[in-house]
Amino acid sequence: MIVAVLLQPGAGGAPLGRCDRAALRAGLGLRDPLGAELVAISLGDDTDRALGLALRAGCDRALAIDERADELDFVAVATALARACERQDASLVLAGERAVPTGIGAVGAAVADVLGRPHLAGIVDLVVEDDAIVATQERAAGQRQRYRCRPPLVACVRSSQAAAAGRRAAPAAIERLGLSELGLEAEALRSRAPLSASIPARPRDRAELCASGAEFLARLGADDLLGG
Amino acid sequence: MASVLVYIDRDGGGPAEASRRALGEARRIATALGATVYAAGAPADAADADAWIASLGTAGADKVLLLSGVPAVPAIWSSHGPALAQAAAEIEPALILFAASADAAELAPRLAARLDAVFVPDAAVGVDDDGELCFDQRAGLGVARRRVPIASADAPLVVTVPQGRSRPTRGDDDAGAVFLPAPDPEPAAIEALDAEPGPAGSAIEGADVLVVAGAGAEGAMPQVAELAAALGAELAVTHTLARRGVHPDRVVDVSATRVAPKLYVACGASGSAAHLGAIAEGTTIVAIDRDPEASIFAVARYGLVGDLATVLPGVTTAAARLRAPGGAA
Repeated sequence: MIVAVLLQPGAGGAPLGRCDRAALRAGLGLRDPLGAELVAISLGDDTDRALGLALRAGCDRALAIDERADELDFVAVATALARACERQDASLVLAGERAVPTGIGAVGAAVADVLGRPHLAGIVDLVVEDDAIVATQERAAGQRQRYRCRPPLVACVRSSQAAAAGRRAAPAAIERLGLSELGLEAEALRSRAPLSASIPARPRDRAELCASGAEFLARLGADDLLGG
Repeated sequence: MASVLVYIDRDGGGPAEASRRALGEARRIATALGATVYAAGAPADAADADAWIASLGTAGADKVLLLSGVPAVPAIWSSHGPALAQAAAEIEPALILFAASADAAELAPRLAARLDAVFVPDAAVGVDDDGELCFDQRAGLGVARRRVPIASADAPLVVTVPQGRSRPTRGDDDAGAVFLPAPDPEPAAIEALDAEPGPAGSAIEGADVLVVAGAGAEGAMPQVAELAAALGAELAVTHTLARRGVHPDRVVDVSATRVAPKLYVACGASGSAAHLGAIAEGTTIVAIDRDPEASIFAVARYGLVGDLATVLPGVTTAAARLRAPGGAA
């Protein structure tokens, strides 16, 4: 069995965001019980840190799709990642539920739709029980709902109970693919710009610093932010 | 804009309150833009259909779409998605609204992909500089705001709105009911097992005021807790503090609980990406930190610089005085 872990480069100097780290840990925790090969896949022009970390953590292979992620909307990103998963013949796909800072929490579900597979979101644990995968999903008011699943499946991982993996002494090299090698036309994928490009965000003003606690509270009161 | 579709979560036997509030927002948008509001949901029992129609009619729906072929299980795409996608294909809404919830996390992004729509999570309804209705969304970790116009959108919008950003409305009209036939199922080998109550994170999920302690507050937790009490707020922590064993069931983080309070008081929380990514647009963030260059001040409206153990007692005293009946700063 091939398990694919979809990773997006992190923000603020971190190689991976919190949810993507959880997806990676979940994949590493499933690999031996499933007897699977673990492949990390990432799209963007700065994926080496994320994929390098995945290889050193224990992934068997890593695949970089050389295309600028910031020029693609979430459906285009999902299409490219889905084609890569198909090329790898991955029956189980794990994705971090929401990347930061640009993540909208949609790529994993969109990958499932492109692949025509079931998916589960909000996953906080994945274990193997009796030849099936038991997924724990976080629902309203922190309730934990468990499901028994069999691949093919896409799991959008929010957190993971799996232990952090050890370091691999001799990690494999990162393989690289372009969109054309995935059977995709770059121009077609770029035809709809992401929201971040079509509607630029406007920066906020930096905080007004108050001289005292009393002034601080007075500002909150004046803005009607405090209940009576 | 011809129509707005609102997905209705199920809570026990009836429509979830968060979804009724989202329906209220849809009603206000639709009234402004001259659109029809459809509420789509699946009662667990056919006998509940009349109660659903009545409830959703008074909450703002013009028509109620009762989805067929949906089992009485927690909503996941396999069980609920095909019927919802069929409903969307039937009425072709320009806007599809979800209350931000576990159901929405399951259904909204995939529905957006299925419909080739623009997906806007955790948004608040606002009005842009041209007076046009828009959805406000946090961008760049909250240092910026993106305003997505509603009426002039080029593609359908699928939007999730946190409960703290929606208000119910009260309508007197009876909604018309539309029964859709069960769609072709999408095969899935997913079987629902047991469910168990989760940790106390739910207390912070719906809080109106949150006081959040970060790593910089670890030595001043009693003072932070006193401030929370004085403000009538729930206490929460960052992921970093939780990993040190401080309130591990009250974490604000994209990997834990996402929040949409009216007021968010960050104490010694510098503002990591995963932390700020869990706060919805429309939240007023204020910060208290010893470092005037802390990144939290880039997303906060007001700030106070100083050692927490030293400044927090004064803030707490001022808060208690201000919130007392007839009180003033």
